[in-house]
Amino acid sequence: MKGVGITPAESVEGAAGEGIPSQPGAIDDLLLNELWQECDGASCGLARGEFNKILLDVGGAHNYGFAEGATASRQQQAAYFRGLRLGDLVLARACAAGNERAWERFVAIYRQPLVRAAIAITGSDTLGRELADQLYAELYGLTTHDGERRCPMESYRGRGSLIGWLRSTLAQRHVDHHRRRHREQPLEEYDAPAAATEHEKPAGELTVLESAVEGALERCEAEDRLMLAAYYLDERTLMQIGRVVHIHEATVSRKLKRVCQDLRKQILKNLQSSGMSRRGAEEALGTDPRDLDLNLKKLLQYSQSDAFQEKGGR
Amino acid sequence: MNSNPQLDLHPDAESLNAFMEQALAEHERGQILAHLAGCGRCRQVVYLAQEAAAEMEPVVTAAALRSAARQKSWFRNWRFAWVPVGALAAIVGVSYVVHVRRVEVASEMAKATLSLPQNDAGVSRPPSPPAEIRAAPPIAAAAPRRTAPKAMKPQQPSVASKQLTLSATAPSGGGASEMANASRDEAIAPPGAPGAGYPAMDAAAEYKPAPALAVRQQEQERAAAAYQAQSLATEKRSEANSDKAAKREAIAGMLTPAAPMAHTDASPPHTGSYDAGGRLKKSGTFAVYTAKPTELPSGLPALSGAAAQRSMLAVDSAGGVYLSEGSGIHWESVAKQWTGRAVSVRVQPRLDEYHGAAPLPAAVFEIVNDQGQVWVSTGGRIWKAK
Repeated sequence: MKGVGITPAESVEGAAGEGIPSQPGAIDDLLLNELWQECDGASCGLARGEFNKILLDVGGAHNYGFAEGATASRQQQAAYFRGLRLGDLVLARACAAGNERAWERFVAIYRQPLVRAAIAITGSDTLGRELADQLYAELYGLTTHDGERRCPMESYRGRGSLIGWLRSTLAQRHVDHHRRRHREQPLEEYDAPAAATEHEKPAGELTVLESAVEGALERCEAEDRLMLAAYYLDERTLMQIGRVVHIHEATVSRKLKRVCQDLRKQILKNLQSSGMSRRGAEEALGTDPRDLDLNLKKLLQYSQSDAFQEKGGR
Repeated sequence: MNSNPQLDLHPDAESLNAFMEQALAEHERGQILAHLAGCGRCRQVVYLAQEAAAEMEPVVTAAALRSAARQKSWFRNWRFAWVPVGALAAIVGVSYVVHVRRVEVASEMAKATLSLPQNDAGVSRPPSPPAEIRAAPPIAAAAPRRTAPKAMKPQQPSVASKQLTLSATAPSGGGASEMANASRDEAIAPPGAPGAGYPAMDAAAEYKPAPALAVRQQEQERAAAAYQAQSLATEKRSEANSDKAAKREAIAGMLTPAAPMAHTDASPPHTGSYDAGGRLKKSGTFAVYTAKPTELPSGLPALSGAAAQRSMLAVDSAGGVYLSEGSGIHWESVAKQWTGRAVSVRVQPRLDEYHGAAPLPAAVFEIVNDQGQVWVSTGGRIWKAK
C-alpha cells in the first residue's frame, strides 16, 4: 500500500499535472520562503536547500496526501506542506543528520517527555527508563545497518507531532519486545491468534453456521470490525475505543449495538441463502458457541483488505 | 483466507501517530482502520500510545480543570449574592439620580433667587464697584451726627479755596423716601461741569448719631438701603447718554473716599473739611466730602457746594454761585444778590441743633461771603441777607 507508512517515496517527477513540479526542488520560491521562515530551520543548522529536499521527499512519499495515481496541484501541494509539522520535521531531520544544535534542542525539549511516556507505556519506572534509553540510543544513531548510521527519525514525515511519533515508537518497541518475550513463555499466556489447524469437519449445520458468520464479518466495515475486535477481543472500554476511532463512547456503544444487530441479520440472511428456513436459521443462532470452531481473531485479521508493505517500526 | 493471520507488515509509527492525531487523509485513515481491525499488535500500540499521551496531558488538563472549576465555583458561590448586590446598586443609582435632580432644582431656584437682586444691581451698579461707597453709606449724609476724622482737620482758607465739601440735608417732612432721595441727590450730584468730580466720601468718617435721633437714624439707614438701589438705577439710566456716562465716571471718582490718600498726597490736599469756619464739621448733620477741583460753567473749579433734594449750589473760585436742579447735569448762574465774594454755600437746618418730634423744617441754602456775612435762600435763586 503506497502512501501509508514508510513506503518508498514515489517520485513526483513523472507525475503529470499542472501542479506537480517537474523537477526536484521545484517548489515555488515564495512558498519555500514562507515554509522556511515558519519552520525556523536555520536554528537547527539546516540549509535551505536541504529543507527543499526534505519537503520534496515528504510530499512524494505520501503523494501529497492523495491516493495512489492522483495528482496534486500546486495549491494542493502547498496546502499539504502547510499542514505538516514543519518545525518538528526540520528538527527530526536535522537530528537524523547528526546536527549537534538540533540534538541539543531535541534533548532539551523531548528528553523528559520521552522518559515519562516510556514509564507510562511500560507501567514501570525501571522498564520505562530502560525503554527510553534504548530508543534514545537508537535515535542518536548508535545502531548501524550495513555500515551506515540509521536513525529512526528519518521516517518521521511531519504529519503528526514529533512527541506523538516518539510515543508511538516507544509503544511499538514495547509491544514488539513484549511479544517476543511472550513467544518464549508458555502457550497458555500467549494471546496471539492461533494458527490454522486441521480440524475435523463439523457437522453440516455447524459448517453452514461458520460460513455464515465468516461471511457476515467479511461484510463488516473496517471501523465496525475494529470496534468489535477492541471490545470483544481486546476487552477495551468504550472510552478507549472512542479515543481510537475519535468518536464519543456513547456513539461507540450505539455502533456496537447496531453492528451486532446487523451481524445477526447478515448471519440469518446467509443461513437462509444457504438453504435454511427462517425458523431453522434462528434456531441455528441458538447454537452453543462452544460448539463452533470459530477463531474470531483469525476471521477479523483475514477480513482486512490489504496488508502494509513495509514492516512498521521494526 | 489468509493462512497466516500474523501480520508482519504494520504501519509505521508515523502513520499510527498521524492516525491518532487525525492527520491522515480519508483513504489513509481507512487503510489504518482496516489494519487495526485485524492487527492486535497495532491496536496495542495505539492503546499504549494513547494511554501515555493521556497520562502526560492530565498534568496540564487537571490543573486547567481545577482552575476552571475554581473560577466556576467562585461564581457559583457568589451567585446568590449578586441579587442583593444588584438591588443595592439599583437603589444607589436611583438615589443618585434623585439627588442630582434635587440639586439641579435647588441650584436653579437659587439662581432664580439671586438673579433678581443681581439684575437690579446690574442695572443700578456703576461700572467701578464703589466699595468705598459701601464703606461710607450714602445715608451718611442724613446721619444725625458725623464727625470728621482727626486727620481731616479744617484747612486754612487758602487751602480750602481749592476744596469742595458737599453737604446734604434731610428734606423737610423727614420721610424715609425723602431721606433716600436726599441721599441719592447727594451721591450723584456733581457740582462741576462734565469731567469734574467731587471727592469721595471720607471712609474714615465716624457716625455719632444724636441720642434723640437714634430711632430716626435707623429709619434713615433702612431707607438708605432702598435708596442705594434706586440711586444706582438712576446711574444706569445715565449710561444711555455718553455725556452722562462720562459724568457718571466723574461722580464715581468724586465719591471715592480720599481721606487716607489725601494724607499721603504730596500735593495740597483736596480733602478735608470744607468749611473754613468748621460749621459743617460742627453740625455733623451733613456728610463732608472731599472735593476735587471741578469746573463750573465759569470754567473755574468749585470751592464749595451744597445740595438739598434736587437742588445743588456751588461756588467757584471767583465767587460765582451756580444752581443746578437737574442732579448737577445742567448748571445756571445765580444772580448776585449779596455783597462781597461768596466763598461757600451750605444747607440749613443743622440737625444737631434740631430737637423735638416736629418734622424737620425745609432746607435753606446759605451763602457765606468773604466777610462772613450770610445770605439765605430756599430755592437757591432768590437770596436775602440773614
